[in-house]
Amino acid sequence: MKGKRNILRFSLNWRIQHFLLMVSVFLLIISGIALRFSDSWFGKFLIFLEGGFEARGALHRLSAFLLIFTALYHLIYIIFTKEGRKEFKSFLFEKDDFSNYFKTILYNFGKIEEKPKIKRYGFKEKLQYWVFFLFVFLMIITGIVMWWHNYFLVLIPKWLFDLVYGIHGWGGTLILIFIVFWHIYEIHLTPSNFPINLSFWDGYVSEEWLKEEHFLEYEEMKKGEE
Amino acid sequence: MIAIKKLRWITKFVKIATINLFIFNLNLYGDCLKCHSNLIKDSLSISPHLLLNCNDCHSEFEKVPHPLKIEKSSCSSCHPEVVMNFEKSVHFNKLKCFECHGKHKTISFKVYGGKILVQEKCSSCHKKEGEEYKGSIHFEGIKKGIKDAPTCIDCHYEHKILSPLSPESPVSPKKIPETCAKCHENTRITSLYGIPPRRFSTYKKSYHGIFLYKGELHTANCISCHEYHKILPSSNPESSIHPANLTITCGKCHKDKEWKLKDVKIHVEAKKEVSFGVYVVRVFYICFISFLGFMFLLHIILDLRRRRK
Repeated sequence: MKGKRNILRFSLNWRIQHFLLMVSVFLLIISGIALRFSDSWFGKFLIFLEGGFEARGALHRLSAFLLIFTALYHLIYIIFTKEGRKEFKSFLFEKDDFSNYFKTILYNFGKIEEKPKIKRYGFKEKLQYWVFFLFVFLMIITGIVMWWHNYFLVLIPKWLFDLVYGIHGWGGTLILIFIVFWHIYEIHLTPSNFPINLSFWDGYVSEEWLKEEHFLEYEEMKKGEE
Repeated sequence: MIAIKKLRWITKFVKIATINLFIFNLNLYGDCLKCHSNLIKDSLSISPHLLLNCNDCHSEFEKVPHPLKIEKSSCSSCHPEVVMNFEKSVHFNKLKCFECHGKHKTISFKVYGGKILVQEKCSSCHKKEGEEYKGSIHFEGIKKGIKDAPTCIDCHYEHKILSPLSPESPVSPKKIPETCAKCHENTRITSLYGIPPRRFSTYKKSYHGIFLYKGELHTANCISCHEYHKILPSSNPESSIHPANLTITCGKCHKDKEWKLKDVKIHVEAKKEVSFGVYVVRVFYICFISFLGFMFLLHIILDLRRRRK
């Protein structure tokens, strides 16, 4: 990131939530994918790293607890705190997001000269947030059904259980694709952030970065200062 | 089919008759014929050992009448591998070769009808297992003359019969799925007899299968649900996997659970016709993930291209 990082963009509360999500999802993915590919050398290696098959299951459940805790924490945050409600509102989709998406494509192709002006959260962040919101919810529900299958098989028929199994397994793959393709590119590899955007850790970004990536947020901030 | 079987018997008869004509001229049996002609004619004439001399198996003696004990155990001189396998089995030192194969009438079990003979031999000692097996779909197949239908030795090995507790045994918990897979994962057999395909690979992907292959031997394998010997299809009301009996069968491990187990499909391939829901979920995810991946890549490429300028 160019310039001195001196603008606080994320509060401590926000950063703690991100950190918990990061740790739990990372652990869930490596322990989940170990099971999904448990036949191949890759899965066997992951199981070995995680300390055996039993330990892998324990790790998956332990990090699931962490994820459930994080999800509840986030719900409380967006419902009961002023800051959380404000952040949540800025995550809602608007008309601008769709037009900005097409503008970005046109800009990337060189058809228009001006880069679209992005608010605090643009379509990239919103897509990321909502896909995570939806899939974390789905994964928690399906995961709980599979965790206590002895009780849930009394309540639900077997075909629904099979469906739950399918949703959970493929959902994990989808989140993995999201993280590998999207998050890693946007946070680490994109030239304006390379090698890493450290704002997830201390919350600070530089003025130049904010001006380039989130122009409308920058403008609002300047107005607030005046 | 019947004509071919008859033909086979006729050719066999002709062969035996031709050899019979030469036996007495070849003088294989020497002076033994003088007393034991019936034995040789009745029993040995249909055995593959027809052309052996008496003293290939029996020790020689000098005066007549000879002592009763004239055996020398020498099956291993011609069948060394078979005897080597037999020495590892639980039957070693308890059974002798001739107790299953007969003394002079040693017919190969591989001839037509041999599978029934095997079953009869084994159940002369293993009566309970024999009775259970006789009620199974496998025995039904054998009665119809289906050569692929398994008899005792197809699962338990021919000579190297081991305790199911021995890890080397083909019916040990870790090996039983592969033993069943020999037929139930074999496309030729499953399509020829119209039995459900891919029973092994679908099991391997299920909870129980994954657990078993990670070394949790107490988990359910094929026979835990399908019974040891009385294996029947789910359509048969006597079967352990008939919908009405599933509560008992699953209850062997999952006690006190009133699971909803009516019309369930267990370890099936998620095909369109069989389990539509899982099929839809899979297709949706594959399409959605590919679409997202494609869009991400496209965006990344365009973004990088623009930023370079």
